[in-house]
Order: sequence, then C-alpha cells, then structure tokens
Amino acid sequence: LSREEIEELVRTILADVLGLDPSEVDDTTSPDTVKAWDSLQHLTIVLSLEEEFEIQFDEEETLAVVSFPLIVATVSERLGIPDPR
Amino acid sequence: VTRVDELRARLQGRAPFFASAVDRAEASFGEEWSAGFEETLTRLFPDDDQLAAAAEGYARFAMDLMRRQSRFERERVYPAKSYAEAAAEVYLDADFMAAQYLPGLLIAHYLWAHHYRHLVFFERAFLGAMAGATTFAEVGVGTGLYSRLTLQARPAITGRGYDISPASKAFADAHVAAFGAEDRFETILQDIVADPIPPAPWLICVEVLEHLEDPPAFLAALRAALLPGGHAFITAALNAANVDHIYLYEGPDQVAAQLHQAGFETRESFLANAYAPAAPDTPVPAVAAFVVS
Repeated sequence: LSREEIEELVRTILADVLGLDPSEVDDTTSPDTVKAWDSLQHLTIVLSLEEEFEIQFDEEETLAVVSFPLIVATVSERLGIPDPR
Repeated sequence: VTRVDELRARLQGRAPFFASAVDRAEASFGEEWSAGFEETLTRLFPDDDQLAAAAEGYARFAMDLMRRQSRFERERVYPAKSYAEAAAEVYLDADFMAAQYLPGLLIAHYLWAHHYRHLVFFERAFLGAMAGATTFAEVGVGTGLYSRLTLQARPAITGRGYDISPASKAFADAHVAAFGAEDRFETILQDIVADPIPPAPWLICVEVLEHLEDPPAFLAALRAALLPGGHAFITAALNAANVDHIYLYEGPDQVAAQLHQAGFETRESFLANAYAPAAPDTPVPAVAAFVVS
C-alpha cells in the first residue's frame, strides 16, 4: 500500500462510521469537529481500521488515533510506510 | 474552574470521545451529581497532576472495557480465566490497580449512568434505613466509595472494609482519610471465605460476585457475616466483560436465586442498564442491586 492508498481507505472508514461524505474528511476531522465521533464510534473506527489493515493497535495507539492525520500516520508507521513529510 | 471542569478538559485533551460522558451525566443527574462528583474529585485528586493521572486511568480503563465488551457481544462468554489468574493480573498488580483500575472504577461510578443510579439507590434504600446504626462492614472494599458514603452519611458509625488487594486497601484508606473518617474505619486484607469475619448488622458488598469462580460459596460466607436481623446491600455486574469478570450473570434472576439459596431474603431490588442495546438481542452491561436481610 502507498501512503495515498492508506489515506483513501482511512477516509472511507471515517466517512462510513461517522456518516460523512468522503470529501468532508480532511486534516481537521476529529472528535473536536465531528459530534458523532463519540466513544462508541471511536471503538468502531479502531476495530474497522484493525480489520482493514490487519493490524492490532496497542492501548496507547487506541487512545491516540483521534484525527484523520493521526490515524494515517499511525497506520502508515505500523505498515512500514515512510512519512513523506 | 471546578474539578469536574478540569477533568472534562483533561479528557478532552487525552481522549476527546470520552469528554461528552461528563456532559451527559451532568445533564442527566443535575446538581446533586455535580456536588458529589466535585467533592470526590477535590478530596481525592486535589492537584492537577493527580487529576490528570486519574483521567488517564479512566480513559485506559474505559477503552479496555469497551474492547472486551465488543468481543463479548460476539462470543457471549467471558474469556476463560481462573480467580487466581484474575487476582495476579489485576488485584495484585499494584501499578495497574493504582494507575488505571481504581481511579477508572471510581470515576466510572459518576460518569456511567448505571453505576451512578446505583449510588442513588444505595443512598435511598440502604443508607436511608441505617438511622441509629453503629457499625457496618464492606466486603470487597475496592475504591472505598461505598464505605466513605456510609461514613459521611452516618457521622457516628464505625466500619471495617475487607479486600484481598493491597492496592485496594491503600486506595480505600486514602479515600476515607481524604474525608476525615480514618478514625472510624479500618481496612483488612482478608478472604472471607477462607477466613470468616465477625458478623456485622449492616453489610455492603458491591460488584464482587462476578469476580468469583464460586459465588454461592462466597454468599454462604457473606450470610454468616450478617448478624440475625441485619441488612445487606449486595450487587452484581451483568453482561459486563471487565478484565477481571469471570462469572457471567446474564440477568438479575440468577443473582436473586443465589441470594435466596444462601438464605437471604430480598427486601428491595434495582436494575440499571449502561445504555440501550444496539440490537434487541445484544447484551448490555448492567448492575443488579439487592437490599436483603
């Protein structure tokens, strides 16, 4: 997977779980900006990411993936995809 | 800025999806909840570092439970675990207990609706009936919350709290001392099944049964620890996949039957679910409480 492909898959998961249009998911997407992102939806996001990317977040990561860019960065790191920035 | 506001801000910064739980509880339970929670946070976590650590513990405690609950919803059983394994993994792990389990459990009693409703039920149905009581005992003292509420509500009463966890003993001692009641309360490390305790006229036992391999044996010991004519407040968690829950209660009738089998007579009971189920057959965490004699 490339970084761009990871971004698109994460965007799709966030849009599906949070009831957003994929075009609405951007670097500001987080529980601070999306009211629907409550604890139950957060767990759904975490479990969906784990299934999609076949990874298992540890306790710290589970709490830390609280925005679109943080999720992309965490998943990319787990998959060994270098950060382009 | 109140301590409740500070906790909300800490959660917002660490795990923002949990911060709304403060708003929901505040809106649902009003001034009495606010005053009780504020006093608890102020006394137990008076400086910001302590409150930040408690917020961190709560976030980890709650997320761990949510993950386990999701698995339970699929499998409908708790993972096989012995009491000895749960004790080693949880009760006897001082760091885990102090950093996560105990502060998480304490805060959950105010942020989780079913737990707070049980506090309200306890205060009305049990504490309200304790006029004139001079002594009580709590078995499984945990965070010390229920004993502290009893000591606070009954200024002349003295009590004993029993637990197997040194970390619980330390936390409960600090909790009671933070409310100035340490002279009226003693905590003791003791397994009441292996080593029976002196009978008391008022007994409290909150969410212990689901932690045991053999709740009926424990209830027999608890019955022997209640003086004739005495009263007990006994609760059990249902369908709640906490790390240390090993005996699955699927409904309040199972608890009631075991209480009856042990010789208790139910005076009043109360059941509260944590939330509405996502689907009709999805198990939801709940607590069943009984005032028995």
